[in-house]
Amino acid sequence: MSLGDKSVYSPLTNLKNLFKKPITVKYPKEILKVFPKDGVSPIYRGLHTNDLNKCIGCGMCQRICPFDAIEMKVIGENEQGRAIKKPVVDYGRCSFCGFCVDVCPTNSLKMSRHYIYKVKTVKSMSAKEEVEHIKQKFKLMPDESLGDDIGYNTGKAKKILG
Amino acid sequence: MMDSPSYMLSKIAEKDNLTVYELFFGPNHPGMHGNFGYVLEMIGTEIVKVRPNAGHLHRGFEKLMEQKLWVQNIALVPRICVADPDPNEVAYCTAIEKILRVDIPDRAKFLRTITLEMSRLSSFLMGMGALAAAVGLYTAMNIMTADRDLILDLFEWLTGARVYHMFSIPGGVRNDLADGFVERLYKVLDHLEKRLIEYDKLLFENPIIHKRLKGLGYVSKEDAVKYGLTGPNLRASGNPYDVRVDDPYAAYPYLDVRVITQEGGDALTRAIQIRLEFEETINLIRRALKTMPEGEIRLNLGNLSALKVPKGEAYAKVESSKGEFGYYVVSDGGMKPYRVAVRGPSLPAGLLLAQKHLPKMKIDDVAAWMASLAICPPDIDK
Ligand code: SF4
Ligand code: SF4
Repeated sequence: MSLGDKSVYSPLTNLKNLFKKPITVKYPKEILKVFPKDGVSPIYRGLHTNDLNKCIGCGMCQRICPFDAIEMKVIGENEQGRAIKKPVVDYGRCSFCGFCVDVCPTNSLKMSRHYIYKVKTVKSMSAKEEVEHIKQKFKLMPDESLGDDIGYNTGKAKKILG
Repeated sequence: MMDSPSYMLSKIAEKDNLTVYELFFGPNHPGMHGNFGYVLEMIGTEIVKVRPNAGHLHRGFEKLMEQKLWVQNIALVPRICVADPDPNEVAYCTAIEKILRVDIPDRAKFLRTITLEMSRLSSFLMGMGALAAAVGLYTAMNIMTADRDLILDLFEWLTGARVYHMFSIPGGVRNDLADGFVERLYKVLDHLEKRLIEYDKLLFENPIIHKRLKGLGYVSKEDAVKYGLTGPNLRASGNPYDVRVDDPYAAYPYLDVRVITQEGGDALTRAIQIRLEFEETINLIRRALKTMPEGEIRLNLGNLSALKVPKGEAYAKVESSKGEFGYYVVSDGGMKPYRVAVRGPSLPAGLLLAQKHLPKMKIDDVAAWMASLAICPPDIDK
């Protein structure tokens, strides 16, 4: 940008915006085109992802979480009849500090570079139902995975808490 | 709450044929930062009396910290100052390290210094932008906000988060520099240095700012000390005091920090003070990058989630963009702090000076006065 003398035609330069693509987009349809993930840092602390095969359900992540965002959910039983627990992250509480990732002894819990969380609401729902619906959807359930785009994890940033 | 009015503007009395109004200059006013307010008693546009009102500002940080593990608090402390979060982390960690009697690795000290100075830059940009907006120069504010984003991008690459970095932990820092980070940082510094010419033209040489700020909110050299001002506000009143030089922490003992002081003490001097310190901060980051040693970034303090700090107490202070941030930490030897007290830099100006300066001031000048003293209410009531 220069602040020098401007040409008399300078107001006309705005006309070129007529032929440019708009900056605004129809969210959430076009979102990825405008915000390509390449710009996001390789150690971005975004939404979590957990490798269920590695997670041993130890609950360390739940204990360290400063904001009580992690709840251990029972997802089944093993052969000895003991409950298998896996963490559920509530994004209404999470501060994206990444301490749960640091503390995970198996390195199964990682953070991804995804940061956009959208919830589809159903029109027929009442206001009260909708709140409940969003509350439930605003969590990372054990069976969801964002493992294709790993950000902050203890491999990239050396382990600090464990 | 007793003194919080439920109205915006109301007539409260008549005096010499003039109506006395009470105006709530609160969080919904664009010139106010944070959930803070002043209840202004006015005749016409002139303020006659002021009552600071903390409203919903109190978030109970200090009490909350007593209920969390030492390391969990790292996620909490940066929230005390949104614009300049890193001084909180570093002060809190330094206090813990003082009680533990450990010395962190040199590289960690430099990394902390670099984040502190980057945070300073971003906060100065926000501060200068707020000042510009308070006098109606929105172009300058927009450019500064855009430039601040470049620094936030760098933070994202260094720490993984843009605003609350949670980068310092007891014993050192969490990550080392990412690949290509230093080149990016140099590029942004060069860009900001070039931009200074534009900031000067748009803001600091702008006649509007000179007319509006000259003589506004004058603080004498003695008053600045008496009221407890710190940081750029203190130095703009002619007191050469800077925590980075007078009680150095992190890597500042290894760096040659230039303390800038000006005589003047009014809002214009304080604005120019920020501009000068901004330039100096750019140079300081360059010097820090050049002298940064290789090595470890963290002391091994064992499992931090089970960290126990021995019985003791310590005070650690850090120079932030607004002044001195201090953390007084007391430990009873347990897993959680016994007590943490935070000294925020905005308290003296936001509460005490306000009652001296605002009476006789015009209502239009309140926002500019606040921005010139860099009053950031969230650290007034923790
Ligand atoms: S700390 Fe890791 S292994 Fe343990 S429950 Fe959490 S995710 Fe699973
Ligand atoms: S990122 Fe921090 S706040 Fe979020 S779930 Fe993990 S530990 Fe809890």
